[in-house]
Amino acid sequence: MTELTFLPGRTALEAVGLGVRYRRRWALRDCSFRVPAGRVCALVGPNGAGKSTLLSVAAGLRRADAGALSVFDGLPADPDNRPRVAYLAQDKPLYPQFTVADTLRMGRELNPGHWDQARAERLIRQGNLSLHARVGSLSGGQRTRVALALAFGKRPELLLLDEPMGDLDPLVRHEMTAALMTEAAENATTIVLASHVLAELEGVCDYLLLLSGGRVRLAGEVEDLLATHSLVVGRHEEAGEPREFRDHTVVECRVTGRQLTALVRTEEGPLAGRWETSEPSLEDLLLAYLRSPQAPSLLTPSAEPRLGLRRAV
Amino acid sequence: MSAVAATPAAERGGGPRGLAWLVLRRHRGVVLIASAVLVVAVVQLVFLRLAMSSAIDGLQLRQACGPKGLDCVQTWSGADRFIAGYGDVLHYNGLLVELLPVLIAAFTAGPLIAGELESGTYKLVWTQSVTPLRWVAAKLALPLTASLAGAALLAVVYTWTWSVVPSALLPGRRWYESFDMIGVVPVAGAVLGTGVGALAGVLVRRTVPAMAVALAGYLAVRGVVAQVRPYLIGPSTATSAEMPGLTGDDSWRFERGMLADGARIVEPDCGVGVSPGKCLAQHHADRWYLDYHPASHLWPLQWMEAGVLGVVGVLMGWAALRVVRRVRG
Repeated sequence: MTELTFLPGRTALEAVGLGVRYRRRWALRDCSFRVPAGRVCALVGPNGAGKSTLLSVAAGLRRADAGALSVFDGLPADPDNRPRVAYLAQDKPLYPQFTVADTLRMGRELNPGHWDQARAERLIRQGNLSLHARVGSLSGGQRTRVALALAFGKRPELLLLDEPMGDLDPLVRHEMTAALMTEAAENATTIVLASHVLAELEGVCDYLLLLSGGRVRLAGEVEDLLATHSLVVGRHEEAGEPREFRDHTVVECRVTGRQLTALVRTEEGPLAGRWETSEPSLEDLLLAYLRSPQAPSLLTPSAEPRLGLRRAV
Repeated sequence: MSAVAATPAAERGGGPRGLAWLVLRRHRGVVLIASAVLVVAVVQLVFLRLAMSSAIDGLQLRQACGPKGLDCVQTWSGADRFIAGYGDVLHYNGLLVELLPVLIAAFTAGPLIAGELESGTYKLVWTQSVTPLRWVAAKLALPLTASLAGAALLAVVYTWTWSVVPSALLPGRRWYESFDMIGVVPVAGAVLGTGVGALAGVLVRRTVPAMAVALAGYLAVRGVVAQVRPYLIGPSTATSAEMPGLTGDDSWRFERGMLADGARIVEPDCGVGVSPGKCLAQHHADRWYLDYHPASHLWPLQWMEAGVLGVVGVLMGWAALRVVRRVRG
């Protein structure tokens, strides 16, 4: 069972200078980050940030146009890696004329030797879905369930989910999240979950990757990222930024009337002066970075790529 | 890790496995319909051959009429009745054989390949444990095998049915006029259709436009090859002082002209009402020539053309695999 045990030193996903281009436009540019194995990683960013592109490169559906992305220290399209990675595309493509049973049979036929029919069927049964229902006749949420069952049945070590919960009602969303968490906990599966719905992620993910404009803005453990930032509130009547902010990196600073609200990095030590500081919520952090495109990126040590030293790809 | 082998033995029935299962399940409807059409076509072709054979015997159409033989008026009216009774049926069957590769090209380009790329279902398959290259290879190999078998069966039975009719009896159905419907050319057409369809599918990536492109591409290749068909093997040439006719016996006469000191003048323009002899003098030529293929050239020509079509088809299929490989390893 060694391969399934949580190993913080192992790398699930690692990018060095990754760039992907659609004709003239770069969807991803110069992205470098690392996601250690065993994490549940939120991939966040506004629409068009490059989330889907990143996942399709990791799934082996697209090639990188610059740099490299490695999956478990190999190429995503490596035949050895294909069985280890499951991918759920945003549009959840399935064959509409297949029954649910046919769809699961496809999983079995195309993943010889490591298909877990029981696990896939359990997820189907939880949704009270008939195995004989045609996929084309299912609702959006039911189709998502079938697609997830196909991904679970593959027993992946890395599960890539592109906006998986978009078309689920809150109850089913809760159920699916629980199923995902069980999957991650029981099998030490690394999960990368792309979303722009922040509510989907709070309390679910322990790792964060924030993309915007095709670049990495934040990467690392959610806890560490939150702990290295302070939400600052106070009265401020002079022009310009307060003097105490000079020694710190200011992500965002807004003044409404005399009220100042700022998000400040505190790696250099706590903020001096009369300011009221608190730890930001995940939403505060993400919104501040998304509103301030000029703020410098931040990668925690575990999210720094190591590939540069090894050049394994 | 014991759950890995958890697939119950009862579910491991017979039948195809892996990608073969997927391709057959995915196109089950087409497989059933195509098989049914093939069976019906073959059975009625066998009946057609038997019916034509007995009609030819009954109407005494095997021997030529003439001074010592049969009554020509009776023979001619018998021939008319035969043509009226069987000409169209045979013709439509021939069209089916000739157009089968067109259907194969359109199906390969559209539903088989571009449909998956357009609807995104390729993502589903490519992210299982098979490589895109193996998927495309399976997508091409199975339909290619099926269409080769189908086209070969249909072409053999049609050729067998067609060959029972004496060539003089059905004008327009001589060997060089039925060239696309008989022998190995329809089978090579199936290879070409698959290759053209695969390339159109991976390049166009949308179902209906891909089918249109495959159709145009197939017809273009066949058109070009048909243009060079007379020269695929060396033709025979006959020279004569009298102007030769362009029809006559069973040979394919495809070019006629004059020879002036060894130089060829193709189909010279003589003006209206000028006799062939005067025409020869007008052009300072001394003889007529005729390029033709005797009936014995049928099979060499068939194999040459089949070879050309097959090679072009295989190259296009290979190019399609290269395209997939370039986009995705």
